[in-house]
Amino acid sequence: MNDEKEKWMEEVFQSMKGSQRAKPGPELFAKIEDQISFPKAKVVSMAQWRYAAAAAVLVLFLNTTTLLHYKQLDKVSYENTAVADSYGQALITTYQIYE
Amino acid sequence: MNNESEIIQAIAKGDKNSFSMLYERFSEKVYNTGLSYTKNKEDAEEITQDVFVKIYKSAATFKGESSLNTWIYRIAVNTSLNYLKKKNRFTFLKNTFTTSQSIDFEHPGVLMENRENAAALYKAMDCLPNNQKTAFILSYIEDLPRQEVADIMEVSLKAVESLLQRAKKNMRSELENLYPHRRKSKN
Repeated sequence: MNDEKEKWMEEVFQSMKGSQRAKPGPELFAKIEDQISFPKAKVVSMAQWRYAAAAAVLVLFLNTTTLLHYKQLDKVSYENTAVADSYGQALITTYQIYE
Repeated sequence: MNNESEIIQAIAKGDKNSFSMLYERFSEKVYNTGLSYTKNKEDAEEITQDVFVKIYKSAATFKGESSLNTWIYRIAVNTSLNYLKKKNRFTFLKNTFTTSQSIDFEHPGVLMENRENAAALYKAMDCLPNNQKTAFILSYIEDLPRQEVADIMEVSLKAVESLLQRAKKNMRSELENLYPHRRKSKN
């Protein structure tokens, strides 16, 4: 059984021996000559455009979210500062007893 | 004009006849190398096209340090590997059916009695990393002498032997899985 399997595997490894080479299509040389004479411009496929657009939208979204988030934080800290300032002022006015 | 360096020098000067002669001599080797990697006729033609355009454009850089055969095979191997890398990047994203296409690959030139075994060979080759696959394709499919395989891959003869040994070991474990199917189909 094992010998048979080993024999088969060896046959598999040698199975391309004596094979004929496949031939490319007859029009291929003309295509190559065309490409040499008129180098083709790099074509960006639809799929590549889609990935690029999706990436751009994602970057825009992340930037907007971050900006909004920081704006919100600024607003909160401004409000807190304003409240603290008013306490301070009240404190200062309270101590201006000789005025 | 039979001398290799004469042909390549003429191509470097833009001689279309020499280029046509070179295509006649090497197109099948390049096409079959591409076919072994991609298992797809259209892809193999695209690789062949790329290889010959590269040859035409870089003919002036051929120094004759290796044989023309070695140089062209080296371009064919590198172009095939780059082509596959590029293709796999997009097939992964697109989730196309490349794998199922490659499973049933049947080489058009294979002898009738070897068809089933050759199909198993191509299927088992899928598991190999690129360097083992290259050594295997050049040695067992292109049937090149080991020293030439070493020259193409720019490694030592010993390294080629080791790559082939590892390739066969890996393929054996793949073939183990295919063996029961073969027995069933025979009975």
